Amino acid sequence: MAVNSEHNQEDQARDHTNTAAEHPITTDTPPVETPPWASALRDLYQQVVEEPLPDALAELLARLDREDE
Amino acid sequence: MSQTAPPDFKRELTQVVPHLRAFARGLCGRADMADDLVQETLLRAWAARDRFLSGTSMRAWTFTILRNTYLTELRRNRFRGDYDEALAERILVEPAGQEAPLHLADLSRALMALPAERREALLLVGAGGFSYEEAAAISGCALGTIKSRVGRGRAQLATMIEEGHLPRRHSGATEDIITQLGRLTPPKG
Repeated sequence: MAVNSEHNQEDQARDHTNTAAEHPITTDTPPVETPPWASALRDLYQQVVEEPLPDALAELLARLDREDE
Repeated sequence: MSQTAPPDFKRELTQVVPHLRAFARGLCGRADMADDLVQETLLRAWAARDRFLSGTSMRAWTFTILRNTYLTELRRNRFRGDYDEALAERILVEPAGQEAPLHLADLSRALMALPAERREALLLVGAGGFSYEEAAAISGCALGTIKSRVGRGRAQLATMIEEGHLPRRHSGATEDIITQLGRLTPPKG
């Protein structure tokens, strides 16, 4: 298996080389430009996610447990 | 029908609470109202726990409940979407690379100025990390509709942020939200 694996890797490397020769190396996929507000939107959301849970919600969750007893 | 919660239900429900708070905060713009909304959502989710399919997404399920609860309560004028200026002013400044720093308070204000359905779509896909398919299911609309809402929301937000066309403080976003409600998919049931 190791031999086959190495062989496959060589094939892939050769294929890649051939492809590269036909198509000069370029950055095929331009970097995705993320506008500042897009990451800020995620941060805005994440900021709330990371807030400590308010007592009222923690107490409610505890009450739900007691309801089962 | 048994009312005993599945073993993992409570744990999964607890884990999604921070996300419910973030979604609710983004929807209605006020921390206190958002937490009221989360409380109501938790109660409804607990009451409907027999209908939750184990192995499916607790986050998507509870977001749907929260979204429907929000619309229902908004129609009753209990959860008036409004911008929490005092809270937003305490939010840290987001570094924006080489450009002028983007205040998260400005972003919050811009978000609240978006049409409700676009704000909802952006929160689900752009902030919450849901796929378009999941967001469409949560919002009760077609896949193409949610894609369109996200695209238009992004464009509108970009215009407001990048060109400085931010709504003025206390600009009547609440009234806008109320008038936009008619375009949203009503909650089922």
